[in-house]
Amino acid sequence: MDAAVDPDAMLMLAYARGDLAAFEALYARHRGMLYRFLLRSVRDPHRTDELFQETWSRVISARARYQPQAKFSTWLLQIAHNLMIDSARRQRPMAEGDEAEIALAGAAMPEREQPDHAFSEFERRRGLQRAIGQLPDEQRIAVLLRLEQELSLEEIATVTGAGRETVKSRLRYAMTRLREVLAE
Amino acid sequence: MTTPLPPQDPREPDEQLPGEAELAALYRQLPQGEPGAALDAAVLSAAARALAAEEESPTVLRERRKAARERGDWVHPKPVAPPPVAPPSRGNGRRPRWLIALGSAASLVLAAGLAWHMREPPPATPAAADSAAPAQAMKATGAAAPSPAATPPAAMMERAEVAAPPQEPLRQPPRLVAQSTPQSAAETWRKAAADKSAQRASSTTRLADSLRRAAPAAMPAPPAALQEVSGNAIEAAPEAPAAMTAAAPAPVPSSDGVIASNSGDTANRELDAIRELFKQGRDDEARKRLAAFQQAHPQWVLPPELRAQLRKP
Repeated sequence: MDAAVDPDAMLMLAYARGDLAAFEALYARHRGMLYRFLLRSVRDPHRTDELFQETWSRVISARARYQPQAKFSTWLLQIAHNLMIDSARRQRPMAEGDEAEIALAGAAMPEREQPDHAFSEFERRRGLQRAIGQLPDEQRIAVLLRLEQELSLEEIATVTGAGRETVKSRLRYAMTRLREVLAE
Repeated sequence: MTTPLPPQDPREPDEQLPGEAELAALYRQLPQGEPGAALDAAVLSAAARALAAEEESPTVLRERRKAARERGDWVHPKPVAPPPVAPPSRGNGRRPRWLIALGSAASLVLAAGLAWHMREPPPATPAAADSAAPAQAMKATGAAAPSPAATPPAAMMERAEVAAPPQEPLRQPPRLVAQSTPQSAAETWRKAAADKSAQRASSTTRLADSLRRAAPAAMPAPPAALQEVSGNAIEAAPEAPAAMTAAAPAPVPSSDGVIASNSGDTANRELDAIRELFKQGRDDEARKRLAAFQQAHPQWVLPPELRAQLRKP
């Protein structure tokens, strides 16, 4: 999608001109995606809330100098990724093990997902969550951007600041590990 | 075997990684986390506050953009400093600084120039200068006897500067001029002039050059004797008296042979005229004029030959 005709970019420009409704629409389109990306990356609900709010604060603050050179979602995820890296450098280590699992399990579950649905599917999802949490940070972020946001390799490279082939290599390693966990 | 180039357009679908489709399907079945209502309200209120603040003070954003970024300034906007109000006299206060400096420099240059022109010596009145120059000028140019008024002031100044010894010649010029071979007097004068001329040599050279350039066109050729005397004085100051003595001639007779004896003649010119009368054999007239001269100048020490003529019956 061309950044010049990106509807999200148009909404952001409209907000920069003083249209609050444009921001509300923009926020509604990206709030869930951003939140899940942060939650599954840091695996800490409190830090997720902080990073989520801080990411949007930066968007608000940068409205006047915003230029639609890339997709708005890419720019938004890039801000979130940078904040997450800075936070990881000065914060306590990420939640591990059961704590992370509890945090991720606390999220709202679709209604169709009933305990008696299929135990095997539940175990597979739980295994996937655990496997994603055990990936190295760079691979986990790449996988989340790929599976959650469905970003291309170039977009992931833009968000993470890595090269395209590096991103591709990370994704290969990460997916191989996930498949191995699910196959066990 | 060639490696396919990666797609350059991010919109183009990437190649599917092994097992990606299965993982993506399973991932989409994971619980879909959503931000809480409080978080939504906080973000939306922050967006609304930002717009409201921008409407109240639109310069805030511009000021922040102008200023250098600081750590965390995107969260806490910088306070807008009131625009500096320049004092009304500030614009006028800068100009006089360089104007004063320029004016001072110009005043210095003007004062130096005036001082340079004002330091010219007072007009000298030695008889030698007055008597010798016109005669030599007339000899050199063949023109009629120049009157003092017709003498260019520049030439007068040059003569005064070059040929006039400062003090002693003013008191006793006749001795120097009237005596044909006044060795002792010339030596005395030479000693006195040597000291003065040595000090003035450099300044005299410059002044003589400038005066030569400033000489009017009506005077086509400067007097030869004047140039000679001037050159001698500049190059070798002790030789100046000798040159001046040699350049001091007798008064020039007019066309009808009558020696001019007007009241404007100086004493030595009068003595020269008397001496010329004696040479022409007009002793009676010469003695009368000599007696009149002695009565007019009783303090004047006459040369020996004139004193002898005066004593003759």
